[in-house]
Amino acid sequence: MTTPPPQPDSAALDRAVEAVRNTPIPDGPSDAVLAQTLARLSAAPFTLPERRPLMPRLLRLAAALALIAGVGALLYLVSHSGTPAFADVVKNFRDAKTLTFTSTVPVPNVKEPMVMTFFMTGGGRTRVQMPDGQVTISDMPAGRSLTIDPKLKTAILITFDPKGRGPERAGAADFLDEFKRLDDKAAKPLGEKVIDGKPARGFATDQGAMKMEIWADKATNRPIRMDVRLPLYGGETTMTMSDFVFDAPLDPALFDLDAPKGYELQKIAIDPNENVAHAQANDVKASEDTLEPNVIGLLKEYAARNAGAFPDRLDDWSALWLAGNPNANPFKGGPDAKTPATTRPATGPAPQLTESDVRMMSYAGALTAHLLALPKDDWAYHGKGVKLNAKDTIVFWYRHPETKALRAIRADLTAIDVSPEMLPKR
Amino acid sequence: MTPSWPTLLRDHGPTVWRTAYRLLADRQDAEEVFQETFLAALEFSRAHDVRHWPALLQRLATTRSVDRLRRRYARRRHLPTVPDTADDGDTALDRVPTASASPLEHLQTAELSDRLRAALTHLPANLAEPFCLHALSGWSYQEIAQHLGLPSTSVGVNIHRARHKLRDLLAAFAPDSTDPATTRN
Repeated sequence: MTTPPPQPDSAALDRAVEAVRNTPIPDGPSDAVLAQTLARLSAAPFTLPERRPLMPRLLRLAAALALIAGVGALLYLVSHSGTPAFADVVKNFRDAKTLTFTSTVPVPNVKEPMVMTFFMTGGGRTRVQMPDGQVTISDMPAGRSLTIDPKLKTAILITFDPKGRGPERAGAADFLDEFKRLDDKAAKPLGEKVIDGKPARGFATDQGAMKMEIWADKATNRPIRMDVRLPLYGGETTMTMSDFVFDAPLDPALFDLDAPKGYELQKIAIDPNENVAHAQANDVKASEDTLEPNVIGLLKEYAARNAGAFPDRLDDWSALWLAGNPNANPFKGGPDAKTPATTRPATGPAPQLTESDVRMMSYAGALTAHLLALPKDDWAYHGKGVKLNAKDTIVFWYRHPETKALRAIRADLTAIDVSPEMLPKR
Repeated sequence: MTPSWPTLLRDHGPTVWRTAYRLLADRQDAEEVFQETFLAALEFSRAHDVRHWPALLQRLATTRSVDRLRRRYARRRHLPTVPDTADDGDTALDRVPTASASPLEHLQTAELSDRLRAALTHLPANLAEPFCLHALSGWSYQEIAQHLGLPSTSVGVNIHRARHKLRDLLAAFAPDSTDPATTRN
């Protein structure tokens, strides 16, 4: 015999409805879920009627800064590696007064590749423009970089110490100068093939995990295409540099570092002294290569934005930037938010990149290039789940490419020499 | 003019999140429904003109959340015990408001919430959706009628039928009662 069920009760239903309505709701989905959702929406083979760029605008801007930094660091590494041996090709770079080329990078999970056109002229001035009109102009000797966005009518002026070794240096490198330093001592011929209708000779260079192929016009020895394999957004892609043009007259106005009239100007000054002081105080090897300062800078920046947590990985640029970024996540209030982000009005001034954004993406881009230049077994990152200042915890190690010494960076952001038995297991 | 996906995420993502989490009370489930909702909206927009994005997204979040509840409680009926914990280890008691209620009231509120969630899984979709939109999301009969393409009278009837069934189900789910899913013919 069973107990008869209670009589239906409207009050109970109303109380239950009220209880569900009052369920405490945490901040929105995790940054990773939000980034993944955006990526999946953007990757879908479908274009909304107004054909706006599907990639979030700030993310595109941030990624562009990282890519520019990455290209700068790559050229720096290649030009100092002593590997390519294609003297006639290199001579063309060395004789160039101006150089333009197009860089195309397919981004994993994003429909449209990132396309950037580089204009370089002597004296360390570079202009990088994207199809949507966004332009970044850098003047390395002057320590200035200007990014303008015609659609948003915004301009960002970044000033930095031109003699510094921070990531901003890679982001505003003297690209043409780096090309001119390409070494011609050794070469691995790849044979010949026709590229863009022209017979071309190929050369390959390996440095660490980085593989670059350079194809040059057989008749003129001028490069036609350069392919560089890159880790990007947690995946791998190949950056292609093409459409090389040498010595085209370039209007000086292309390199004007004044923001156009009517643009909202944001000024960001990167202070290199902080990182230099940190490096000196903690035995960071801030020599010609900037690997250690870049790792430390990135971890420090990320931890400051994410309650002391370190990133899961170092090469997922979108996750690095999105995490802890109130401009990127509408569900989370920033430290200065007076009201929860969920009630923040959707209208108002467009969110801007911050100094932290610029540093973060510059570190990320430059670091990606440095890591790519190391053999895969010669470095490892162990920062996932680790917090800043965790005691005696190695979060990153690498084998120095020249001295072959093992170096490690700990969770307190100090750098030390280590022996193999001190390294965490992979 | 159709907004971009980042704009839709920014403007309506919070509502989608609240809708999903309120029904599911579980971060992992809510995150999955959050993503499913926007991808379903993408699919929908390929074939239809979307006249009202917030309504579409809230409807999708509601229906998918109820679907997810169905799967959750179907699993529980096949398991001897399922700990009532969210992904962060919180118990039902931990998830209820803490304003000034006693622990016993907390527990009762948490039990009521869970009983309603379980009861919703026994409603057919044509009753569950208007009920949730009205009772939990605060839509008027007229708004529901407009966005579901139904006469207002039908909406009223459906919500009335949903309430009637839910009352029965809540009574059946009450302590000392057995799961109606196992007692129904």
